[in-house]
Order: sequence, then C-alpha cells, then structure tokens
Amino acid sequence: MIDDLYKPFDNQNSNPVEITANNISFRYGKKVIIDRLSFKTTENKISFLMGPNGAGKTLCLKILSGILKPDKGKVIFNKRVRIGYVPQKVIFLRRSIYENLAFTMKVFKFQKNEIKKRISNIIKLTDFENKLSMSARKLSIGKQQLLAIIRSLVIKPNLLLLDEPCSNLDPHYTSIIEAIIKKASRQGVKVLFVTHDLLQTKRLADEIIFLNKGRVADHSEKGIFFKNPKSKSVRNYISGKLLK
Amino acid sequence: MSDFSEILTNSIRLIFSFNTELSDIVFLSLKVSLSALLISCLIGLPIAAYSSVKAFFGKKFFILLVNSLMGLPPVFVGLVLYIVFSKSGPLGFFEILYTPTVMVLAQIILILPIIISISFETLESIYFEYEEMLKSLRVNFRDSILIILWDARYCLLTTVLAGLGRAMSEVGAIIIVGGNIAYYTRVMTTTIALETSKGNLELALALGTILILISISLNFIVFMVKHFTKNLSYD
Repeated sequence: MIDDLYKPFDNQNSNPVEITANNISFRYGKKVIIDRLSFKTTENKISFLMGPNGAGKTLCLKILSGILKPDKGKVIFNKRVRIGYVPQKVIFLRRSIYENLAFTMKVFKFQKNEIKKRISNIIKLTDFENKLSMSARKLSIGKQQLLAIIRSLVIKPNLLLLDEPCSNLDPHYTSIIEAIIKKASRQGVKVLFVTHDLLQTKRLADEIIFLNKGRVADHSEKGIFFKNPKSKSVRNYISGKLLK
Repeated sequence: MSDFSEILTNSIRLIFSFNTELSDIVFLSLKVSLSALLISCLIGLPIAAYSSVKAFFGKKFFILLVNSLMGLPPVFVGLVLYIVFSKSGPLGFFEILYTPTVMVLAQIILILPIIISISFETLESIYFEYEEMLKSLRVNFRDSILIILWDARYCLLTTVLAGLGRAMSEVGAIIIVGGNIAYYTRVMTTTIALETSKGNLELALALGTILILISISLNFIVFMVKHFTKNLSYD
C-alpha cells in the first residue's frame, strides 16, 4: 500500500520518461557555462549527473526543470512530464509543513480530500508525522532535505530532478532518502540525480552522465564508468585529481 | 510653571469631558487618514507586488522615483492640489477644494510612495527566495503575486502602520486644501496649529495628547498582532 505513494500520476501509461538534451547552450554574459550539451537518458534507470565544480550540472538541471531557458538547443521529453524538483538550496514557503505540501498539490489541481489523505499517508515516510503544523523553515537541514523530497513526491511526479539532495546529511537521513529514491524509481519514476559523492553514485546509479566544462565528457553504465572509464577526465575525477 | 500645570490639567479635563467639538475633530481625522490609508494600500500593495515579481523596462528608475517621492514636501503637495482643484484650475469643475475628499487625496499622494516603497522591499525579498520554487512548479504570474502578498501579510503590517503614521501627523497639505473649516475639514493637526497660534493651548494640548495616544495604541496593536501571529507567520 505504501508503495502506491511513489507511483507517478500516469502510472497506467507504463513507459518511463526519457530526457533528451539536444545541443543545449547557455551563457551568463559572455561566459559560456553550457556548450552544445547533448545526451539522452536510458529508460527506467536512475541517471546521475556528475562532474567537477562549475561543470554546469546545477544549471543543466535548472534548464531541464524549465526554470531557465537555454540560449540554444532544446530539451525533449518522450511524454508529458510532471517534474518533482529538489534544488540544492531547499526553499519552503513561510507556512507550515502541511501547507507547504498542500500548496504544491494545489498547484497540480489535486482535490481537497485527496490532498489531506495523501499528505497523511506520505508523511509516514518521515519522523515528523506529528509536526505538520510546525514551520517547515524551522526544521533541521536534514529534515528540510527530507521534506523537500517528500514535497517533490507528493504531486505524483514521473520525473524527479534532484540536485545534491543528500549534501550535508548524516548517514541516517541519507539512507532514508536513498531508499525513497530507489522505491520511486522501481515504481516507474525517472530519476536524474546530481552529486559529487562517488560512494552514493556506486550505491544508486544505473548510468552516469559526466559533465566537464559544460559538455558531456562521458556517458556510460555505472560498471564501465568506475572500472573502465573511457574518458581521461573521468579517470582524473575518480582519482581525485583537479580537472583542467 | 503654574501656567503649564494649569494648561495640562485643563487639557486632561477637556479630554475626559467628551466634548463634541473635540470628538468630531478626532473622528474626522481618523476618517480622512484611514480612508487615505485604505485606498493607498489597495493601489500600492498590488503595484509593489507586481514590481517585485515582474522584470520590466525602467523598473530601477521607477523604484528610485518612488523612493524619492517618500520625501515629498506636504506643503508642495497641498499647493499643487490647491492650484489643480481651485475654481480656475484644470480640475476645478470637480468642486472638491475645501472638502474632506481632497484631504484624502492629498494624504494618498503623500503615503502611497511609502506603502509602495517599503512593501516592495519586503515583497521583493520574499519573491527572491521563492522565485526558483515557483518557477519549477510553473506557478503563473497572478498566483505568484497572491502567494507573496499572503506570505508577507504580517510583515506588511509595519508598512501600513508607517503609512498611517505619516497620514495622521500630516498638516501642511491638508491645511491648504481643506481650509481648516470648523466641523467640516478641521482635523487634529490643523486644529493644533490653529489653536496654538490663537493661544488656546488647552485644546491644542488635548488634541496632541489624543494624537500621541492613538499613535501609541496603533503601535501596540500591531506589536500584539505580530507577537501573537509570530508562529502563524512561519518565518
């Protein structure tokens, strides 16, 4: 029953979301941040977006989520998407935990009784079941990250875009969030995850898209990525060398 | 010294005598200032919210202009309105000079920039926080405005109070456009100015005391509202 919580809104339509980034470019002023970026994610797999600082990972996620428009190129989805987006810096409305979740659902036109029911069910995944009237902004960083994941799931997304959702988290919260992501993926939610954490990548990823200087330097299955990386920049990144 | 204590005693006696003239003046002052405040909020808050959410050409200049207008000299506003609404003025046909209506208008001109400027700062900072989230959820422009206005409602109380303070203490503009006509356009500040010049210090001091009491009471109410809604504001 609890697994139903992860099912995307279009679960009757079983083919998962496929993301195609087609020649995307983005610049801030004169500085090119993303340069003719192209990739296509593999169906029904947890895709990881990795790369050194400043490679354009967060920007890429913002473009995929529709927050930013690319200067050139386009993002193509194989079907209608409902995106659950978790930014690096989590922001909540100046409202209670319940109202923050309810607001997100209202945006997607959920009925009043469905909002109440779904929130009371989904909140069981956390340990703040009895704190629904508390300010979301007063939660600890770890709990805010967890709530942000719950907020992204509450709308029954078929695509989750997660920007370092476990940064600064202790192993307990990291394991809770990882379990949620795995279950959501099993239920047909496409996950695109940005991280620097190689161990987490080994635990969760199916495929890795490696960005360097705003371009795709490598795109491969997890096994190949770690054991036999094609690209020199990936080898250097894994061994902890600074990429030039 | 005995003169001062006599004036003070008489003025306190006047306050508690519930004199009709005094209560009419206080009532008209509140009516004019609260009307001006209400209209200024109805115009100013949507403008501030729109400016916070929307990037438009000349936005920085608009904010600079509004900030500059906060220091608009009341006497100048009164003079301009007097010229515009006098019999030979371009809007003289409205025949509102020396009426409470034009006094409300004068106060609106004076407090609207305060409402826009201070609430813009509050709303802009909230929108700056929320922008990415609202865009990721594809919340439309109108709803974004409503959301930031709602979430800022307790912070905006201070803005409203600042506007009311300016309106209640204003004298320069309304004495020109209202004419300080007894039982018609005479309000607390204009009466204080008139009675002081006439040497009737008891009435002036009584009205001054009431003005200060109103100001303290309003501040107290806002303080209490903010205190008791601290948890509701979820900041």
